[in-house]
Parts: sequence; structure tokens; C-alpha cells
Amino acid sequence: MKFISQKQAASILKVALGTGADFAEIFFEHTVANAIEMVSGEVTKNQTNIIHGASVRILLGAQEVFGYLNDWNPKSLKDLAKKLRASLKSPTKVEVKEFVPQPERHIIEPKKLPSKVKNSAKISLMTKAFKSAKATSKEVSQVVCGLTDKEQNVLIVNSNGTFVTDLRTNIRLTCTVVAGSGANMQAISDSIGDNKGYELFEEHDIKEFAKDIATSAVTMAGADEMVGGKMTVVVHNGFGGVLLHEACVHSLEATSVAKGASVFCNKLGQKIASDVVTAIDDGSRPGQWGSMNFDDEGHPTQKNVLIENGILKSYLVDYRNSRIMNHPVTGSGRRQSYQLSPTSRMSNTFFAPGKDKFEDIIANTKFGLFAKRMGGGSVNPSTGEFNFAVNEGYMIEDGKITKPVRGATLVGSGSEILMNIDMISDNLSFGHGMCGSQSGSIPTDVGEPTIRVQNVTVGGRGVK
Amino acid sequence: MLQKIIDKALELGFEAVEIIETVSDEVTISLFRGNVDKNFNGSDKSYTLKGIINGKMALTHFQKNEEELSDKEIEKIILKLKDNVLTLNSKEESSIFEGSKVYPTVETVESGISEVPTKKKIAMLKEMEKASYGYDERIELVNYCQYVEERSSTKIVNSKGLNLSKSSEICGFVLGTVAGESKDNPNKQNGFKVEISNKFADLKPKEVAKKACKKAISMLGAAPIESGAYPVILENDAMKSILSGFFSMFSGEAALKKLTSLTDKLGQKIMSEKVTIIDDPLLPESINKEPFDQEGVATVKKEVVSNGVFNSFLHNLKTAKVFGVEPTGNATVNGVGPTNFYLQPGTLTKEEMIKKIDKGLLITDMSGLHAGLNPISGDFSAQSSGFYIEKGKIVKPVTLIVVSGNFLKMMNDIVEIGNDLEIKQGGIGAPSVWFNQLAVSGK
Repeated sequence: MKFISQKQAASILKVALGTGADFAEIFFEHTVANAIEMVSGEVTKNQTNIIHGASVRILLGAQEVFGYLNDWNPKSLKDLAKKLRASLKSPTKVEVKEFVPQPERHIIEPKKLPSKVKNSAKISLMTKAFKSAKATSKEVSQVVCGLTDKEQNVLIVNSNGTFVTDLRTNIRLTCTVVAGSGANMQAISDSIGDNKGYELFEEHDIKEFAKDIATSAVTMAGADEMVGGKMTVVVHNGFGGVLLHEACVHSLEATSVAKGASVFCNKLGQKIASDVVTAIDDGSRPGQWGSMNFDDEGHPTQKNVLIENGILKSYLVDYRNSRIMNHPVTGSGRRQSYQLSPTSRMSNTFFAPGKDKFEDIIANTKFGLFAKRMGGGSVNPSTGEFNFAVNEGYMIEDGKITKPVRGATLVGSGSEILMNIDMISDNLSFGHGMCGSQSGSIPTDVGEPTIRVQNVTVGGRGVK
Repeated sequence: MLQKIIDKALELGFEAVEIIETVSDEVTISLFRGNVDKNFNGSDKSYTLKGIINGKMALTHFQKNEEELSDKEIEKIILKLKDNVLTLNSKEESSIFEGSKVYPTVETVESGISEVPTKKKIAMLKEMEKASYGYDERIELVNYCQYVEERSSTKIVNSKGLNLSKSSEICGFVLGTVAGESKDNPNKQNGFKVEISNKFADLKPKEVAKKACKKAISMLGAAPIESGAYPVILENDAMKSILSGFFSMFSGEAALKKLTSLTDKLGQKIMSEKVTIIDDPLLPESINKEPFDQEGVATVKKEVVSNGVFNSFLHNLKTAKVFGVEPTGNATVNGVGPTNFYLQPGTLTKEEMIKKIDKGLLITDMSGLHAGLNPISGDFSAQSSGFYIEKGKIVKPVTLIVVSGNFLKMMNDIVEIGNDLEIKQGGIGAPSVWFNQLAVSGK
């Protein structure tokens, strides 16, 4: 992709620093995103979105001005920079540093680009999922499949010498199966997704994937309502990692921490979780849904150990907040598009595997909830209070998984729940989500091995 | 330019074409501890192109400055649209609209935002932040203190001769506060308030401060209560969350996909006779007034539920055609949405309802409804907070409980509907509602 020459970029940055600001950045983006929807095996939507524009961000200390245009024209960008810089004034002049050559990164290397794959090939992937889900059971009443892909080309340049281009190709196949009828209708969704090309589907059995979702939906349609209360909860691997994402790591993002608005402020080096807990955010896992070669500020992504054996080791920090917090940047500056200013965000966030076996965790639990398939959730970082939904749950009685239960929601406070994790198994896997926060909606992976948590408040409609 | 794209699409084989142009300018100014820490300013011009071949319609969305958009690029976009539309194989036919006979008139409101200098807006932010820290010494932090404004205009032009445009200007303040009994006490509570208006002169940042701070302070010391079934008043904000979560039940789009349990319930009583739900695009008290929807269909007021009886789904052109009814003027760019969709208020104040409750709950906030509800069956379980009521009085704040129920069941189990409808900001709104009994999980 041809963006702009280094000479032109430097001249815009120079204008941006003209009133005494100490950092300037331009983010160019051209994205082609496709979304196909299939309802009951029929293609109902096939949409292409083209996102095109550039933004200018200028900092003086922690003071930030930001603006965007649907335009890559250097003159328009200079005009924007002039308008923006007017409110930043300082007598010291900072020079634009010479651009350093782009470091080599091989984390994201898509082979079959979305633009090179025909509609018919994409639709046949969806049909495969539809047919398999539908054939699973007569009780399957509806199947909705979605296939989204994108080619996001970005150029990030800044006055510190960054001139970095990157390509992201997040592709995801989502399948939602509805089973049952009337008040018993239950929907279960799951997805296959990576930051790869369409070769991604060669690694997965789509039929098994869809069948598994349909089986869950049918089970849940016949499930009893969850009876609420405080109990032990075993959260299964994969998307269960949403617990870590919501209950803890949102509150470790500099977005909250830099303002002193997080329950985990000033806790570096302190114990915030039980000894068995090690938590990691790693945007450099090859080809993974939340991975990138470079973050949206042009920093290489990296593995960040956030909690090690219960001790808080690091926050997630973007460039601007690193100035406020005096904390190194962690390659976590992300944004949905050029229209948003980047801030600290997660990438692939997970509990490191422990030593317990899944079977032993269940066998050692007298009574509780087995949260096999989690839905989404949310958190308020300033209070630490979080919630998430259990889409497929089972009771555990006397060390055995027994009847299915539906409608369970878990709530708690982040600082408490991390202390209450007492077992972690060795079966780490990941689930793929979209995370919404200040800088928009971005792909993030959540992951974990199966974990056990004591004393969780579980809500439900059932009565004893 | 728009006509040029339409002509090119017709030339390349489309039977009918429509293009929507949206232009918007937005400003966000944030204050933190007395200083402007962020000042954002964005301009966006984007297009949605819809085209029909063999009764099937696809759309494409693109952003690009007109001068940058060459004939070759336009052709590429149209050819991709054509490739996409040829893949559609659902039975339903789509259409592009020639226009309604008459459109309601919407009075233009002068927002006044252009006349107000940025300095004044910043001064008001400072006042709001100062008022917050001054409200109570237990307000430890103002973590969001923002002024926002957005100017936008939309133009719809199509090959059937439709040519409509509308514009709007809104502005407002966003405030988030955090309260704590002391710095060392880890239990914090927060108060969050957004006030949006179409007139700058109506904005009262000090009032916003008062509301957000009152909320945070009143929740200090909140704790879970015993699990059980309680009479519950869902305060207007919480009721709005529930109504928003279940909006799709009333959507023609969901009906078409068989993703609502109301498909065979038209004309039947589905809720208490106390319930009337209305969608009124021209509601006087709302700042959001829409003369036409995103397909150019004139909007109209309609009762979705009348005294408990389900009257109508909300439709766009496509879903109306499938169900053999008139479109209701609820088309969004890619589906069906509300304009001013609300539960009709009753007569009692919230305080009067509280007085009548012996033991129960006033729920002020519900979170996690994006995940903790089943829009098909109506079941929900939501993280909730609010106050415990005893002998007609609020006695203590409550948090980290889960309130669970079924939307249709609870709408049949209403004791009273309050008179405090909040719909000024458009979209979805509700008054406070007192339900006979909901399941609560806590201690």
C-alpha cells in the first residue's frame, strides 16, 4: 500500500510540533472489511466496508490534541495539524527525529488474503457450518452464521523516529444455534477466529465446531433454571478467560490506572491474587486473534507478565500514559480505527497453565457450578465490580458433573475473586471476542485453563 | 457526485440504486484535575451505497474525500457491490423507495454551539469539576469530565427520484465521579451522568455534577443482601436498560430471522393491561426527531403494545413486505431500530411507590445485559445495585446482587408504573416500574 513519503510525513510532523509540543504522530489507515450473514442456510447479507483516513495526534507532556480526516492529502493534514497545535504552547522546541528503519516482525503473516478469496469459497465455509449444526438435532430451530474478514493497512509515523507499516487480517466465523421453542428457546454462539489469512480454516474442523455449538444449544433448551447463591464455581478453559479479562485486566489498563481510578493503583509488587495465579497479556503470539506485529502506536507487541504467582508485576501502558505513570510502554496502544486516539488495551490475555488436572478439579468439588461456556461480561474499573453470563452451565454435586442449568450470571469484585482462585489446570485454550472501551471495539483473545474459584455470587431465576 | 455514482451503478447492471451521504463533525474536550488533558476534533464524510439486482439488495459503506475518489475507484466499489449482491439467495425481496406522499415537518432547532467560544466550554467543564469536588469531601476523584458536540447531516438520493436531507446538532456533558469513605478504604462507588441536548443554553453542568455526586455518595457502604424473591422497583434508568435489552423482541428483522418469541402473538395480550409501549419519532420532549427513516420512509407514531396487547412489530421496507404490512418508518442503515421508543408513564411518583413497599428493592443500575439476557426467550440475569426499602423508606444501599427474571412474565406482574419517563435523549426510554416479585441472588 502506498501511503506517503518519509519526506512528506516529516514535514507534517514538523508543522505539528511548531508551537512547542513534544510529540506528534500521524496514523494512516485503509481497511477493507467484509461481513457475510447466513440465516437458515440462505445468504441474507454481504457487505463491504471501506475505512479510509488519517489522524494527527500531538502531545505536550500528558496534554493531548487529536483530530482526523477522510483524507491522506499532506496539505489537508498540515492544515489539521495547524488547527490542533494552537492550544499547545511551550517555549521549548523539539525536532522531528530521523526515521529509523522498520524492525522485522513475523507474528502476523497471512497467506490467503481476504481480497484473494472468492465470495463462493467464503460462503461454502458457512454452508458447511450451517449444515452440520442443522443436522445435529431436530430440536435445532435456527442457525445464523456470520463470516467477517478485513485487511487493515496502517502506517504509523511519529516525531520519535517511528515509520512503521502493518497489515492485520482478522478473520472470524461465528455460528449461533437456537434450539427449543417458545419460552425454552436457547441460543448458543461460538467462533473460530485468528489474525491470519483464510488458511486459518485448514486448521479447524468446521463440522465439529458447529455440531458442538448445536449440541450445547439443545442441552440448554432442556436445562433447569439456575438457583442463585454463593458457591464454588469451576470456569472451563477457552472463553472462560473472560473472567480474567473483566474481573482484573481492564483495571490494569493505564486508561484507569493513570487517573488513579482503578482498584489496582499503587499495587505493583504487592500480592493481588492467590499464589497459583500467573496472568499474561501477549500480543506477540503468532497469528492469534488479538495479536499484531506492531501496536497502533508503532511499538512491537510483546509478552507482558501482569501477575506472577499472585504478585502484580506490570500494568498495560500506552505511550501517553507512560509519560504520566513513569512506566515503560508495553506495546498495548490500540484503537478501532484512525478516528479514535489510541489507549492501553488488551491483546491475548490469559491465565498461565497450572498443575491441576481438569478431572481432579471436578472430583474435588463437593457442590458448585461448572461454567462450561461463558458469555460476555463487563466491569466498572473504579469499583472493580464485574459481571458475566454463563451460557452453558452444569451443577457439580459430590465431585460429579450432573444436570445442566441455564440463566446463570456471576458477579463479584475483581480484588476478591483473584484471591479466591484455588486450582488451575493444565489445559490452556483461547476464545475470541471483541472488546469495547475508550478507543473503540478491537479483537482480543481471552484464554485460560480450567480454574476453580471459591465463594462466587451466582445469580439465576430458579427457586429452591 | 452522488448522481454520478448512481448513474455508474445503473450502467454496470443494477436495477435500482440508493446512496446515503453522512457528514459529521465532532468535538470532545476532557478536563482532568483542572487542566484540559484532551481536545479531540474529527470530520467524517461517508457513503452507503445500496444496489438491487433480481430483487436482492446489498450495501457497501465507504469513506473517502470526494477529490480522492477517482472514477476508477468508484467503478471498483460498484463492481464489488455487484459481486456481493449476486451471492444473496434468500427468498425475501428488497426494494428502494420512491418516497412517501407527505413527510412530517420537524422544526429546526438552533443549537447555538457555533456561537459559544471554546473558552466558555472549558470554563463550564472547570465549574462542573469544581462543583463535584466541592459536593462532598468523600468525592475522591472526577475520572471523566467531558464536553462533547456533534454536527451531522444526512442526504438520501436514489434512482427512483428520492432526494431527502436532514441535519442535527447536539452537545452535552459527561461526568464520572468516584467516592470513598477514606483513601485507604478499598470500597469505592461511582456516579456517572450524561446530559445531552440540542440547545447549548439548556446544558446545566452544575446540575450534572450534583446528580453524579449524589449517586456516588449515596451508594457508599453498599453490600449484597440475602438471596430471595423481592418486590422490586426498577428505576427509570434500569428499566431503560431492560427495555433496550429486549428491543429486538419487537423488531421485524428479528421476526424475519425467527429470533423473537412474539412471531405468533400479534393481536394477543402479552403484558399487563397497564402496559402501553409507543414509538414516536416526533415526540415533543425528545431532542431526537426524525421526519423519515434511513430508507426515506415518512415516520409515524405507533403503539407497539396497547394496554398489554401486542399490536405491531417495527418494520423497514423489506420486513414490512414479508409480513404484508406498511413499513413503520423504523429502518436503520442495515436493519430496524427505535426512534423514541418508550413505555408510557403512569401517575405515581417514585417516592409514592417506595412508600407503599414494606420490604423490597429500588434498583438504580443494571449492568451486563449485553450478555446476561436471552432476547428470544426473554430471560435475564443482571448485575444490579440500588437500595433496600423497609417500611416505605430507603434504608441502605445494595450492590453486587443479581436480579433475574423473564421480560414477558415480569411485564405481566406489574404493580404500578411511575410518572418519571426519561426520553429526552431519544432512543429508548422508560419510567420507573414497580414489579410484584423478582428473583434476587446475593448473600
